[in-house]
Amino acid sequence: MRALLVEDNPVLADGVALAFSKAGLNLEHAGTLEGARAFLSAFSVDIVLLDLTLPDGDGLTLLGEMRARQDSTPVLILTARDAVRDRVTGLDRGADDYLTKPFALDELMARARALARRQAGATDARLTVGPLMLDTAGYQAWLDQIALNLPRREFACLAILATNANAVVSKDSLISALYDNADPPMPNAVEVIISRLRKRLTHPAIALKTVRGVGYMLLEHDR
Amino acid sequence: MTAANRQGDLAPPNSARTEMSLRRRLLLFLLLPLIPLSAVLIMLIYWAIRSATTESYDRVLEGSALAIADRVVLESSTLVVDLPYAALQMLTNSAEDRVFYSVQIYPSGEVITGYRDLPAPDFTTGNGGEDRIVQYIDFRGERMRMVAIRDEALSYAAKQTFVVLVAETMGQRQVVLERYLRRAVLAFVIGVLLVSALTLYAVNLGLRPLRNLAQAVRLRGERDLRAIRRPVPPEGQPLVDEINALFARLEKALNSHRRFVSNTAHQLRTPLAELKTQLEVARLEGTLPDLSGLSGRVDGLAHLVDQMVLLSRIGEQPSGVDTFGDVDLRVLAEQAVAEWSLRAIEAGIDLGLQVEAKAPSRVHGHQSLLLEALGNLIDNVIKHAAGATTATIQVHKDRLIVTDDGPGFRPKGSNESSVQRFGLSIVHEIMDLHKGRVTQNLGPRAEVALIFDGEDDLGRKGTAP
Repeated sequence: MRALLVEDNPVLADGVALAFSKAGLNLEHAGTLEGARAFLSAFSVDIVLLDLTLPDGDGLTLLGEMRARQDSTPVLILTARDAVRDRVTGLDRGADDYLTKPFALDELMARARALARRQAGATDARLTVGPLMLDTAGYQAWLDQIALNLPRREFACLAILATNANAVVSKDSLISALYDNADPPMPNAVEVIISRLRKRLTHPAIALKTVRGVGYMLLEHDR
Repeated sequence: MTAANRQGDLAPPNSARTEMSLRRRLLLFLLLPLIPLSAVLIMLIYWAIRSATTESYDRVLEGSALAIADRVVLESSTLVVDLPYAALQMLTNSAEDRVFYSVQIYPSGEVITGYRDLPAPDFTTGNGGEDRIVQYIDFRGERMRMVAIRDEALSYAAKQTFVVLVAETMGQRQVVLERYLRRAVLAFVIGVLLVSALTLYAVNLGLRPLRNLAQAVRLRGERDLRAIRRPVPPEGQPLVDEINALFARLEKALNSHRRFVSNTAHQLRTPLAELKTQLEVARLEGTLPDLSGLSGRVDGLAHLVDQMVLLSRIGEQPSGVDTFGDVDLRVLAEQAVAEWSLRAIEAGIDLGLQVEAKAPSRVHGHQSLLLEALGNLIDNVIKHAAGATTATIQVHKDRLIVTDDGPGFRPKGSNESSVQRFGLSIVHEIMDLHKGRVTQNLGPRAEVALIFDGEDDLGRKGTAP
């Protein structure tokens, strides 16, 4: 994963750079909007970590420019300003996620990975969550390189959960993704699929959690 | 708050149409009807003056006719009028008017003396056999008033009926009528002006309590939110009551803000003191402090600051997300669970949702603030309900309840109240804004409920039907 950090505060920038290098990932750094524009015009990255308050303007301007030229690189907003308002304006303008300063570096890494993974899932058929790997084009899944040979619906369910790893996927959204209106599921159909998947995903690094009353979460331990 | 924007509050700038002043309105309603009323009154006055002058002039004319009739005698069955010319001059009312007379034998109409062409009225028909007729005639191209008297001249042997006609031009009558009318109208106008002046004075006097009230409000200090106790007329009381109610609400909001600032300052001070101590200890002993503990404290501080910012922004801007609207408690709870699931799982707590309400539970509320409040409650369970394995958000018709199966909340060794200890003051603050309340049982199987059963400023219940 190659990331661009647009951040003018050197302490924060150094911290983020350290976290990325420890994880063995590439991080480019731009301290101004101008620098970020120059970099993005020459290179492509998997994710942009964007501070909003920059010496030469508002980070949202850069986001607007990117989205205007159909650049769908995931953007994670880092904000020290009013969280609620920035969250909404940022997401309105096409940001993919936001994080309020101060943030834990672990949290930043997890969010950045999740965004990059989602982007990869959209453009490239391969998806990885810990030991789990999915090929969404070939409907194949492997756990520790061992093929799982999942039935089509179970695979689709796992693909949705893996795309949103470490986040809650509601039961309603699973039902609407897995079944069409003309073919309503049996009661408990989703529970049955989940329980079958759970039996297959026997690996200490991942777990398929039930979030009572809401839905499910594919949890990656030791992110 | 300055006097200027206080006035601005009273006169909302969005009303493009400016209201007419009360004074102008009263004056208009009181004085405007005087115009048609004056017209009618002047008509009546004109009519009265006219009939009075007509009557008195007619009487003089009649007197003249009677005087002539007195001079008519029957001499050997011939009617004779003995009328000196000078006497004729006396007949007229004034120098300007001309008088025409005629004495005729009745009913033949043979003229004995005077103007031959003066037309005699018909005594037989229409006038009911009266001996005296007063009427308008057109004579020699002029409008005139004429008196006709039918009388009898007697002698020892005979009797002869005759008619005396006296006609007069109406110049003087008109002059007198106009003169009196002018005087009457003048008196009337003076009367109207007096009435208007009195009305103006009375209206000003009547509105004085209102002006005094405005003056009293204007002189108020910006922090003086005591109720207005000044006696006002009953009509002004509702306004004063409303202003007092507004003052009371402002006072409450102000107090709540003061309390909030002092509470949050308190909450910030404790972790800051702990941080400082840890750092000092590390510096004195030359050891590394508990870094992850320090990081957690900083996170807590950052969270508190976020919440303060959020609370301070309420009502600041009328658009966007920072406003009140319809909130579905179930959706809200789902959002909270989705947001906190990962942290709960990592803390070994099974966080879930339980919908108890049969119908959708909707309240009038502030989505982000309520999410923040609910987040605090979940955070509390994760941090303080040591030994809990499950935490559940129950969605009821008008409330959200966060429960856990732990043995009760354990404070981390400080002597603050439970409200301050567990970050509940912000939750209380948020529920106050929603006219709701918080009930808490922090013992075993702890339960904290956010209850929406108050009414907001517009009288809407917290829960929509």
